[in-house]
Amino acid sequence: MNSLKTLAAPMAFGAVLAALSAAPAPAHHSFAMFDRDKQITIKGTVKEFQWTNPHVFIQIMIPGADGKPQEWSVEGGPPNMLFRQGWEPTTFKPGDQVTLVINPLKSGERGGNFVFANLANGKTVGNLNARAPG
Amino acid sequence: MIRSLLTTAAACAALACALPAAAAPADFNGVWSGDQGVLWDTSVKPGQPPNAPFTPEYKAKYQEALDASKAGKPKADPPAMCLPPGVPRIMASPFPFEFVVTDKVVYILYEYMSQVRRIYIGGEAPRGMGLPTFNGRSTGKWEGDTLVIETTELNPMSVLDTTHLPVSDALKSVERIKLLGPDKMQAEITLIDPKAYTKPWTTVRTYTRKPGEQILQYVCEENNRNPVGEDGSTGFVGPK
Repeated sequence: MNSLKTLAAPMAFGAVLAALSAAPAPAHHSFAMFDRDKQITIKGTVKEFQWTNPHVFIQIMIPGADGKPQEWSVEGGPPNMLFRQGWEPTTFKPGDQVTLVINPLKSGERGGNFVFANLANGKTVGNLNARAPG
Repeated sequence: MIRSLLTTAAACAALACALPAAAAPADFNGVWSGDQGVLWDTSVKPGQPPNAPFTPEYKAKYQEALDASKAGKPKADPPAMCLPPGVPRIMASPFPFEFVVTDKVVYILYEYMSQVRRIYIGGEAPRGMGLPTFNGRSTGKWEGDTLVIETTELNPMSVLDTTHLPVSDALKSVERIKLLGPDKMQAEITLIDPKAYTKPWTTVRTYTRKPGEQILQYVCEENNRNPVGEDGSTGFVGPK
């Protein structure tokens, strides 16, 4: 199964994305390291959810080309803003099977900027950072 | 009667207990959230160049920052290095802040970078260290129901927003803050900075009162996986 693909025609996610990403950026840093013109979908198992200041991180294991899991780091917004949006320390739990849409790192390393996620319970969560100005 | 009042006053002085304060001319107390984005010039749409009356030197400085950003090497922004955004940029903070108004000092408690401003009302601010600081030295006065804050001794390392809109060491910031309605506040922020701007430059921002909202603690250095390199670019620390 292809677990990593470019969203060439993000029809199903398009409306959700527009609704979730219109707000301004609350980040303290530049987003120049992310390719914000590009969105990729990654599916895998949550290893760790870092519910921390100044930004949250989701550590997720994704099957690589050889099928072996590789760890990715996905950066989200600040916990204070996400908490106000309804996020909790348990929004992502180790072992959860989730689908994440991210702006990948320009460097090609395994990481990116969180755009939104489809959680194990079927809910979708977004992130105010999705349209951050660089 | 007089004796008992005197005794109470003496006890209060000894215990530093708070005597009832005279009512402030306007009720700013509470938590507020900005209505505009983080870009400084609220008079233009995001993505449009700011309507700034630059001096030639600072116009060139700004252009240099824009070019660096375009080349993928943006200049280091103090908040990216976990430094305070500074006055007046902190009034464009993406996070809420809380006003606490007392007779002698108005406190503004910001969630962003856990900053505190003290505005000394009707007199002199305590003498500064002779060292420009991110929040500077602020005095305030009430003009009717408008709080007028003047801030000097500001750190010229600050910029006004993520596009690196500059200020100089000559900056004086004048904020005129008033209520537009019970839960709507307006700040007219004028930059008087003859080195950077040829004339005073006023920007208007509004804020909405958030009853029941709390100020959370934002600590930039706790799990900061985005270190800023010597060239000013922001990094990303991946899996160990």
